Amino acid sequence: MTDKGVVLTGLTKVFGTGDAAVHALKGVDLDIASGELVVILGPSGSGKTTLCNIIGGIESATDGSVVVAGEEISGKDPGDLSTFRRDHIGFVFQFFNLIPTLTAQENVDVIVELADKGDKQKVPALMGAVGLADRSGNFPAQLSGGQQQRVALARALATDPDILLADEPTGALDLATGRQILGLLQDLHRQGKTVIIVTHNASVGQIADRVVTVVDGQIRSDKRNSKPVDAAKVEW
Amino acid sequence: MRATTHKTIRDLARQRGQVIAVGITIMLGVMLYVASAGAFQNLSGSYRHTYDLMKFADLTATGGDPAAVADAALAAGAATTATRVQFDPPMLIDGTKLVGRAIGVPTDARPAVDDVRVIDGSYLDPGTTSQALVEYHAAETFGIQVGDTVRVFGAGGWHDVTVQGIVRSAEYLWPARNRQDVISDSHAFAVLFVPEAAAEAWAGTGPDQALVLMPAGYTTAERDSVAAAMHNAGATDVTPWQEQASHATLNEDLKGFNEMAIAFPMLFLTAAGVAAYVLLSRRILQERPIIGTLMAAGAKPRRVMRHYLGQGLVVGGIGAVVGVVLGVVATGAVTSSYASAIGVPDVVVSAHPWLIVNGLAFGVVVGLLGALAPSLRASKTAPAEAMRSAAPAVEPGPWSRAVARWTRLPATVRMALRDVGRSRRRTLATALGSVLSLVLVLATVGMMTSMIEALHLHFDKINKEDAVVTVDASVASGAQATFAGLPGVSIVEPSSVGEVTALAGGHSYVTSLRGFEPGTTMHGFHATDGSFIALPDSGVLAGVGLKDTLHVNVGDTITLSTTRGQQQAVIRGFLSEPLGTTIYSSNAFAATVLPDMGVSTFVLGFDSGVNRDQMRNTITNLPGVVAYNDTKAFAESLNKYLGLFWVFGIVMIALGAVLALAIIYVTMAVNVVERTNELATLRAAGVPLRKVAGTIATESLVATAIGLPFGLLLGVVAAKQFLATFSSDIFQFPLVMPWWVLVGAAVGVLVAAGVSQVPASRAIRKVDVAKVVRERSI
Repeated sequence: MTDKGVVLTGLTKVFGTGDAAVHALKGVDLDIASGELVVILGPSGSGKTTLCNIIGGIESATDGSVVVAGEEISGKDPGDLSTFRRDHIGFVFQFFNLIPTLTAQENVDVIVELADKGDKQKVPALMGAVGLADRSGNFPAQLSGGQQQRVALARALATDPDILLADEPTGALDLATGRQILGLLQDLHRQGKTVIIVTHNASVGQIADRVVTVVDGQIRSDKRNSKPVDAAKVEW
Repeated sequence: MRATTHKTIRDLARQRGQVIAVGITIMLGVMLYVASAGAFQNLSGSYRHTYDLMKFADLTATGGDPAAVADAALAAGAATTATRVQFDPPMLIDGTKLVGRAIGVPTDARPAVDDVRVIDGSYLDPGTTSQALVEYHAAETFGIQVGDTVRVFGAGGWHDVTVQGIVRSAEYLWPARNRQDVISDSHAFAVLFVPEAAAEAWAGTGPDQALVLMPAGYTTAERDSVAAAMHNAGATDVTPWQEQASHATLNEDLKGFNEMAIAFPMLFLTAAGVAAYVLLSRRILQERPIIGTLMAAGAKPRRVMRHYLGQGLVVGGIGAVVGVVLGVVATGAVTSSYASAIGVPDVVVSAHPWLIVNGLAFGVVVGLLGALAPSLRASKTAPAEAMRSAAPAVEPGPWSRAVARWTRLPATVRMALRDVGRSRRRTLATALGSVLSLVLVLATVGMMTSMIEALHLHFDKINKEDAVVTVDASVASGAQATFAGLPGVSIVEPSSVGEVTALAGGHSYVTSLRGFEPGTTMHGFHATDGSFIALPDSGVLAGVGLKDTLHVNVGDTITLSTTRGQQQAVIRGFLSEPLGTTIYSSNAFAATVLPDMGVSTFVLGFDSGVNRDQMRNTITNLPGVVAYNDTKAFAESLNKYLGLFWVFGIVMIALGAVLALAIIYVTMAVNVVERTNELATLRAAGVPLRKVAGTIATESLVATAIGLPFGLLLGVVAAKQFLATFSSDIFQFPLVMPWWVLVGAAVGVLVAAGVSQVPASRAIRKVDVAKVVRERSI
């Protein structure tokens, strides 16, 4: 694998202490190669989001090693993690979390300003790439759910990350809109990005190179998908 | 424009109601600061300018040989000196008999020290002995014109003088006879500047004062050195210009501006800081998922912090700029109206750049400080945690658990009570609003009630006489019976009054010695413990101000010095009197101290309901009466002196209400927004708007009520502190805070809290129930 991938070794995450301790992840080992499109599948409470958050450096592991894009990030302080995310990670969440007082394009501009990375000149092109060239002046309240998720995707791409983490990116969308978002993620993968999608929806796995199933904090299965389907053909 | 700037502008616009409330509070604080501090600077500068132009004496000495004292001053470093005679003779002006003041001035040149400014007519002709210059206040009171005749009683009887000019004098910008008599009947005092030769002839004495001008830029040490030389040359009292009666009286008034310039703006700025804190805390709580997303994408914590600090900066900056502009405008208006009310002749309105800089800095710093903690919190947002829930669940505390057990209360009431402890910051902010408002209102009202009560004490319980009448010696023996026989006169007692210099341990103090009959009913001797004591047969009672001035105690002996000589007296007790620091003795003792001016004094008590003007006319026209002073006719002077203070008080009470409304409105608005989901759910379940609004109102009023006891306590302490700053040998105002003031202020704050519920209710009505319950994201 190249240094743009993910290597997790003996990854453990425990929330709380004593009787209230919850073991979200129990010694997870996982390698994701650079340029792969991986779907991490699991039911609610399985630990998949925690796994995604630890890969993205917004949550720390209790134990184990986390090497992302060639950097060991376990044990890094919050400031270093912030720099790490800025340099390597893009996040898309189920809820779009757009700033309601900013237009679509400004929602992308703002991360360029606050992260001091990326180029605001390229943002219009990014808006075009997610199919919102003509809606970039609209406020979130004037956009549909799918359009808002596209803005969130453009925002995630604004810092030109190596790895794109999408946590339930279709969770708040209908089938048609969900397909469009998955199509965009698939396009990014085809352009060479590492894309990791976390979902409870097994159908999403159809577009992936690889489907990793997490149950009760452990990897239940890790299957290669020899014939990924086009996002437009996914059904659920 | 940067996206973050867009966000700041639109965020503020979205919360414009609360932002305007915070901005107005900052604006008021800054405006008060700039206006009051500016007015203080302007008025101080105006006085100083007037004093310089009129060569106001830096030191005034009495006692000893004034020529020798003046020579000693010159030798010790004084720039210019002069001597003159000053005495208080009876006068007849426009049919009114009064004890005025005659001051000798040269006729061959203008006074080298304590000059006058002729505002009508001209200065005295060379060599004249029959002309006079009338001080402006007397001219105003009696309608004196150039060419009129006034009469002065002195050696040889009444002397007619022609008014040559109307003048202003730095010594009488405030027409105070002395530090004991700063507020009195304006018809009972007049100052005439008469030829020195005539003054000396009427007074039957040579010069009795030495006046000194120090070189420009002199130091306190140099002034003290000259004063010491004057003492060594025989002066019994040397008064620096700061302690001169007129200046000291005006300065007491100015102190109010100075106190106001710091304390009151700070109340507003503190409230604004708290409101800004509450406002931004709420925004950051609301934006937690967004901040989490931005942080997850690598937003730098420092940049996030700077962004939210910027919002505080904008609100503080705009409030400060508007406050400074209004403050500068108000400075001119306050200065002009005050100067006009007092009659300050030379008004200096100058720009004070450092006040503008300070005002801007205060506003900006308050905005930044209010935003600091929320901004720090935002920059430390943990992305994963921020996206798990909008806000971390809070464990119910003891209060919530206790309220839960009060099952007899309706659930809505229990909810309201429990919510008080749910957001401690919001509850504390509301309570703080109540505290700050009460401090502002009570400090103001407390000063007003204390002054009113003090004046009531002074003029009704201490100075119980209705009039003081002076007669010439020729009718003195039969005067008491004559007065007693007048219809409407109930009591007549002989009295005496004169100026003395009290000396002890190297300290001196010029004051009045008043004599009464033992067992007098015309004067109440109000002891420091609040009781009324009897006038002793021997020794003196003295105003408590003398204790600190002369460093003496009960039982100590002081020396009383007059032009007649010196006399020892034992202090039998100290008195607490609101105005002045007077010495009292029996008439018999006073007669051994005061010089014989050829007149006798009587104090008269009137029947209730008597026509005072008629009484003044009747008594004034009696043969031998040379002066009449209606001691109850002080209202005009008092209103002039306190007029602006009352206006200030009313404005402060109104601003207190604004402050309470602003901060409680902000906290209430935040409360509604934070709880939009649960309020919408209640409404969706069919709970009427009235009940939902009632729950919020109950919570608000409880939070406001929590602040009441602290506000009442701190308000009383603040009022006491403010009054303490006025405490001097001229004024003593013990705090009087009637219960109804406390109750009224508390009710007022609760009403303000109630009024602030109106916009909150409107916000609840506007909640789109369907939208809120449908959407989780903002």
